[in-house]
Amino acid sequence: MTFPTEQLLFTPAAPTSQALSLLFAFPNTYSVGITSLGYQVVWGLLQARSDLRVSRLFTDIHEPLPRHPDLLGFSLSWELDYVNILSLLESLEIPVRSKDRTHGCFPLVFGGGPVLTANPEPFADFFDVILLGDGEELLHSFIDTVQIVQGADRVTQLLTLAQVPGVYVPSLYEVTYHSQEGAISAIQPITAKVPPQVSKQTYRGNQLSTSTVVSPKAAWENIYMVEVVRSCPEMCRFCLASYLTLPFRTPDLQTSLIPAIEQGLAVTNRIGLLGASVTQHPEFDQLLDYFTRPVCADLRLSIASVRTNTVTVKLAKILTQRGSRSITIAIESGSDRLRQIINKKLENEQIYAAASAAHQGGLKGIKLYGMVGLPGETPEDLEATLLLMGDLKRQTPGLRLTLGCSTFVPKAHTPFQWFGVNPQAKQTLQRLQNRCALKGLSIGRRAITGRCYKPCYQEGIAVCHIY
Amino acid sequence: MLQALLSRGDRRLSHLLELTRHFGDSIGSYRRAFKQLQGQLPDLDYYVFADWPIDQVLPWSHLQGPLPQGTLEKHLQEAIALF
Repeated sequence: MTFPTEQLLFTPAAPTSQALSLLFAFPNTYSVGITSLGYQVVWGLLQARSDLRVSRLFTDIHEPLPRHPDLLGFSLSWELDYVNILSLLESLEIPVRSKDRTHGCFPLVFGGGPVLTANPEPFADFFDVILLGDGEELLHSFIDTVQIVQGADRVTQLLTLAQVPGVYVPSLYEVTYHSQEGAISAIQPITAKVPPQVSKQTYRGNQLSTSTVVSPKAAWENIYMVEVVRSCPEMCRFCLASYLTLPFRTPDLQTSLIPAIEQGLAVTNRIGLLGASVTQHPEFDQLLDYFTRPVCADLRLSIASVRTNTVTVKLAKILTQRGSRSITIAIESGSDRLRQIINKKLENEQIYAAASAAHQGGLKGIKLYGMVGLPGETPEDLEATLLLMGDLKRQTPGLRLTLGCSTFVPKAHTPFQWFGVNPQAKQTLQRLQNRCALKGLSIGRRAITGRCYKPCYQEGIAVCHIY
Repeated sequence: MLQALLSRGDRRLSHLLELTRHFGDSIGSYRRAFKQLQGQLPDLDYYVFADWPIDQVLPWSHLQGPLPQGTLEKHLQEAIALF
């Protein structure tokens, strides 16, 4: 495979003769990687610097590679892609463990993205540096510091980099355990020269992420992605997308969002609106008006899952007119009680209203996201979900209903991080599936459980963002 | 299950990750790797299914997220109060 013809939405800088060579890798195929807004944006940031010579690397395709790169970066959106990180390191003849890279001319291996920001620890030994949080400013401080320490020995480099807020150097922290098979007893820096805590970085600018490249080989052909909001104000107790990326941020419509969309419309007619809760943008209604204009008639609009009580006939109508066939809402459960436990401020009445609005607006289907094995769940909660699905089917005949269900997975930095997976969850899911089938309802397992990487993340938007 | 393993994993898993990849990506492969590394790290249940005590040092306790741990604990207690 060769690189397809891409349309760039930025001007790459011409590297100077002193530029450091950097391999920027996505540990999956080109199609998956280029559909990650996070990967696109970071690539754009790096390419815009004349002090770097950047080559992209995917598992199936790469740009011409330097013989001895100075830096090797990974954007990790899916935890199971770690397998490809290890394979790529091996194929580049680079030791997989950081400690084996201290001597010899190996690149500085760094990583970022939602997986590594949430809990980098299982992968910590493979990286020299991990960038925590939003990349907009963090990447520049990181590269600036790399430039300063270029030529120094690895130990000096790492000690200096560890001073930069948000730059985590795992090898400078020692983990001790109560016993080999026991819990952690302490995590401490190995020297007083590094901070005991590393803070995840939060970008507070008005401009959120937009595609830097439009590619015919993206998972959604030629899609231009716009991040409409970052984080989610709802704080459902299990949700990494909300808790890890707080605070909720919304760029201004007139000065930020619309100019960003116009840039995309100049090169494609396919727009994806991304975010954990896009319809909660305070000017979302005006944004819909913008897309309703006749000039947008041949536009194809895709939208990430939306908050149930924000589904209106107007929204459904515009989505229908602009090429969408269904809408996705996260209900988690049909039980009001369970939703209270998880802080999901939603009532069944609002779910009926959302389905009805979707139907009236002309959408063919609605996909509901549910979760089983949530802490505090009882068998009655499952019955409530089944009851809800049955009622929905009766109340909105003709609307295709899909329940996408996953099991609860604890995520770092959320209030439910202390809970384990319910050992019965798998059977519960199976039971739900069987009972749904009996009722003639379709139920699919979510490809991605936990729903944590769905929303907008500086470095991690990935395929399942748009449904 | 693998997601839970990785989302609550600590550094001791790195050896397991290196090992499993040569076994394949099924759950069985992970179980096999856990068996092989027995004695060197906690078992799969510890990472995936166990409820962890609130005073246990979390693998990411040196990494500061947007909210202090106290707030997360408060939100947890609010949830438990409704069980």
